[in-house]
Amino acid sequence: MRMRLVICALLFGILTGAPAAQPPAAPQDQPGLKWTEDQIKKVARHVRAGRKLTPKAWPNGARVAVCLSVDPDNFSIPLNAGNTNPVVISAGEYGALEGVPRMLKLFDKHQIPVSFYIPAVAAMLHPEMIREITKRKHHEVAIHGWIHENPMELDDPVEEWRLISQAMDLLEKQWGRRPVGNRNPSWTMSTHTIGLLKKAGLLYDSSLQAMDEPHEILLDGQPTGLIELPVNWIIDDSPMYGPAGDFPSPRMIMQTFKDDFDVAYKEGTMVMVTMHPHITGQRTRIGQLEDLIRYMKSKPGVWFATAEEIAKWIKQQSGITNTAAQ
Amino acid sequence: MRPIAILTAGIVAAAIVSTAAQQGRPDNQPGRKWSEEQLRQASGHVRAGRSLNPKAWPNGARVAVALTFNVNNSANQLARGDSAVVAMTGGEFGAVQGLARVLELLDRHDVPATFFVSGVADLVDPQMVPEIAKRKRHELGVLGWSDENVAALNDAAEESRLLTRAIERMSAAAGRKPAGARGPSGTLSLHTIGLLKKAGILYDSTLQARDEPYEVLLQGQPSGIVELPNNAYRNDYRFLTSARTGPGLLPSPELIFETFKDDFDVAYEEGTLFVLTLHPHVVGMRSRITYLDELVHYIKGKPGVWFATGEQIARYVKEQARLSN
Repeated sequence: MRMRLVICALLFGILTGAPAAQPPAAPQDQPGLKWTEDQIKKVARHVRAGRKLTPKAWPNGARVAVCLSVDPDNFSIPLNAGNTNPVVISAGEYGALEGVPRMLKLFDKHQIPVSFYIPAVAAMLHPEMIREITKRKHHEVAIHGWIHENPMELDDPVEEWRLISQAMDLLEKQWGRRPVGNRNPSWTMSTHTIGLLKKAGLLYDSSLQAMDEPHEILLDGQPTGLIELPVNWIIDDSPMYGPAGDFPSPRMIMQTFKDDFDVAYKEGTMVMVTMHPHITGQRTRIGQLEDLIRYMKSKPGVWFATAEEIAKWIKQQSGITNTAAQ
Repeated sequence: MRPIAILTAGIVAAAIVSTAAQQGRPDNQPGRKWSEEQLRQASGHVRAGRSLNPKAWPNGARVAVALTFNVNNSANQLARGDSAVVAMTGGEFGAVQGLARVLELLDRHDVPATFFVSGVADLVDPQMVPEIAKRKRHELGVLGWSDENVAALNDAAEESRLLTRAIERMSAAAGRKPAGARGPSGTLSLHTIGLLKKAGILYDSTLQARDEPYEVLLQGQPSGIVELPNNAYRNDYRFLTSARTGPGLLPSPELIFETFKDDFDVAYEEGTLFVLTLHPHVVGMRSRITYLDELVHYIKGKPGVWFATGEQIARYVKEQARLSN
């Protein structure tokens, strides 16, 4: 009898799914509804936008600053995830082999300086990419994680600092200068990130999305001295017409970028466009990017600059300093 | 040996059965076995009652237009206990950039609008409500405590606690009790309409059964609650987010605002109501705001358009229909 009971209990347990793995977070999981007001404020206000840093004037009386930025991730994302599938790797390699050269040629033609946010592993595996970028003199190289890791999931300040330091060292070696800017991979940050960027002595970050115009980052309510040159998921080629994008119409997407530029021009602030060589470097997209550049160039008073140049100008105009870098 | 063998066999058999059960998906189509009575009951909790579209709108206007804004910012993320730093700044955008653009646009066109604000959005950015309130012509309504999903919650007591907290907070911030509510996360539970009635709310703007205003039926009985219907197709969030921040179904402001215009055109022709649902952290973006400007300009170009708050419309239709609670 006892044995039967045990078997029944076991059967019941298995059939009712008791030994099943941890289920994913369900929509009914809303722990924040039980948080106190202080808890809500602490989480919501950990990293916030501080004072606006749009200068009274851009260099040479320009109306607007435009930074075209390029993230040559290549296959660093699948590699970080342990995905070695040859087709996936090849789709990333397209960025290094076709995308970067095609985009560089276009920037040469229009004499536009550009900021490249390069995962260190992508630079390591395609060193010719940085050689070509460096040769042009006017482009910027800045960090974009070690291997496009997700620091929020890691949530480990020691490991995150190791990856940031390694990335800084590798890019410094290849570029010949120590990078001054950061863009966090996948635009995710841990709660340690801003502190670590400060510690690294960086001039600026370009991952946050609270404003269209440059601003100072507040960490737990305190000014950090870090300049933010904001990005936005709708002024980014990846979610729109990337491999998993929902709206693969280069013409309509570039129309959005144009519309964004028009208001920035009117408001006299700045534009940060984010692109990827394996996406916008495709033959079906490059012509649309050239149309966008021509459109911007047709307006008087547009300052095309690297993010570093923009941040340095802002720093000089506002007198802001990274307290950790002093 | 034998009991152990039986036990082992039992476990193996159970594991096989269990695997089969897991492979066979759970029955998520229970409705196919329901009787007519069960079907009527299941679909009959909250239904559209009589139309409340008035014979005429004030001053002989042909159509009533309610521009509505859901100010949830990061409230939904916070409800889910998600502290992701960068994602949080996407909501912050609504407070520090988007709302100012929207208010400036409304000032310039001199039109009233309705702002449904989540309690938590106001808690995190208390500067927003005074900015809206000082314009005098806008309405402030409630959008739950933290843009919670009350259908998933399915707990009348907890929902009541959150609604009460939201109404109290909004009453204090706006200086008067809110008249209108929109279901946070675009959902209602089976308890919501009853709770709104109990809270003395005049109108809801979440349901989608009609284009024109109607009275909400609760368990087949007229509830006295006015519905100013919402619609999934007249909502910026579904379309104009990016695939990384929302559904982002058609992130072309040009094409989406074209459908908003088409929707308005038929409302105008039919002489009813046009409720548009927007979010400052979505439509307040530079590449979107210009299209809202063009839409308002287009609507203002037609004769006989009454721009009003949800409350003004609800009070008018209620009075015209002699509706009582």
